[in-house]
Amino acid sequence: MASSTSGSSSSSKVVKIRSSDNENFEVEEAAAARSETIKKLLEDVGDDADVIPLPNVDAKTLVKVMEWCKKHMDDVDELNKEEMKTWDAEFVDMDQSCLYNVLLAANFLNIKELLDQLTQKVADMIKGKSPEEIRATFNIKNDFTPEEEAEIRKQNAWAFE
Amino acid sequence: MKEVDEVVNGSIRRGGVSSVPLEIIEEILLKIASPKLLMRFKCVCKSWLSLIRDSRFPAMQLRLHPGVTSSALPVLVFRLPQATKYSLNNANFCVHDEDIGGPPIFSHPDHELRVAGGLRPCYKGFPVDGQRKGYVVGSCNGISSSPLMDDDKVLSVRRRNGYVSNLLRVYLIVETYWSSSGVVNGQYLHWSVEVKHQNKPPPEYSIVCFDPEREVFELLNPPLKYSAHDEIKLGKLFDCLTLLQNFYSPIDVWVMKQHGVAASRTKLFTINTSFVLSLSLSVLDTSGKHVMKNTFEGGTLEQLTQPLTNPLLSCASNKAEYT
Repeated sequence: MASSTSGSSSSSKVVKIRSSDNENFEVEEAAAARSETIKKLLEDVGDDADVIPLPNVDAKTLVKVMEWCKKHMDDVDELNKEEMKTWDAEFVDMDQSCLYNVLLAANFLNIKELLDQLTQKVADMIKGKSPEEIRATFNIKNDFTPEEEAEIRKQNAWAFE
Repeated sequence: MKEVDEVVNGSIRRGGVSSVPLEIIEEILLKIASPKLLMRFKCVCKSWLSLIRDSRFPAMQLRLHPGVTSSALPVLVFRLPQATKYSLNNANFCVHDEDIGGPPIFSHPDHELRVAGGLRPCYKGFPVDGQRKGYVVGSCNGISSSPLMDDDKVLSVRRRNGYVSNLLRVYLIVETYWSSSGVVNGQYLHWSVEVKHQNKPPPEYSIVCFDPEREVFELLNPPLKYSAHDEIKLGKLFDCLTLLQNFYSPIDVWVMKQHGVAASRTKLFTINTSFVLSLSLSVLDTSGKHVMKNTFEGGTLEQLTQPLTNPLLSCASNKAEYT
């Protein structure tokens, strides 16, 4: 995915970004700028930018995120909306650990639309789950005493039917 | 990603062992439109509980879902049990911080309850920033008048904090769980509902009880088994929730001596009449007299003027004659 230029868009600028595991990528500026974080950094450093380090995102995750950014680089016309929807649905369909990494990266890189899609995906995933299963999914420790939990369940008893 | 660890409302919010920061968890929970699921997720852990309980949360959640407008006020949307045909997406309503219409129907030192009915459609383009105005569209009825539409109803509870009453809580009640008349007894608001079971006529009657203090809706067990043609109407006698069973003679009047305790119900008296009554069971116990009013055909007619024995003091059954 590095240093690729899509044929549809005019000769656009390329920026260099570096993952936490020191891998360098060349990405079209228009794609990278989907990230508010990168956009802000680019504005701050101007044309003198050498490589933008992204210490919170590993290479594997960064490839995934940039794949999304590249796809969402241009405005989508009406005809392609359905196609884009399908693409997005397939994109978020990844294994859980990958999903969380991309989610964290989207949060750090401040890509609102991607974050929305990913949180929606996770929300859909947990909809059918019990509180116990959710704790397991998110590796959350139950910090209620049995009495406290019983009281909350009692107060919201109908929700557990 | 740094661990989110902030103090909100005196309690510590933390991501726990999970590497997913709380701000993301919040984003995820905001995507969940079902209040029932959110209620269930309250017991995952303390941080989830405080997120869901956060007064800002419901308003943020409403803003996320298309077709739903809300002011910046904290708005809670609850669904009553067993309701199946309602979803947030087709609920259009908006509230403003002045009023939700109709006179208050609940006079508690800390709360004020109003009911609005028929809340569709609503004005689009609300709220206007900086302008704390909005409209509840549709009929905004007091609890004893009939709603114009068979639609979701909104019960708003305004907390009175001294002179400041800025916290409006709104509960969306699905049609199945709504009745046009309700009775306030003690801290609770009650109304009777017809619970329709799929492929299982006849309907059963039950009583919905709302406790604004705990923000809990409960279904009280039906006091009796009813036949298809029976109806129940609620009222208040001697500070007890009172049930009028059946609109045809004989009409039984029951009281529930202890809140929510089905076993404490007592048959108070029976009215024998050849009329079909539409009694509004409004009973005043001033000067030792108990007056039952009949609001049938618009007029208010005193139907019963006879002292009754307080069921809290005695179990003796009263015999009342229709006068």
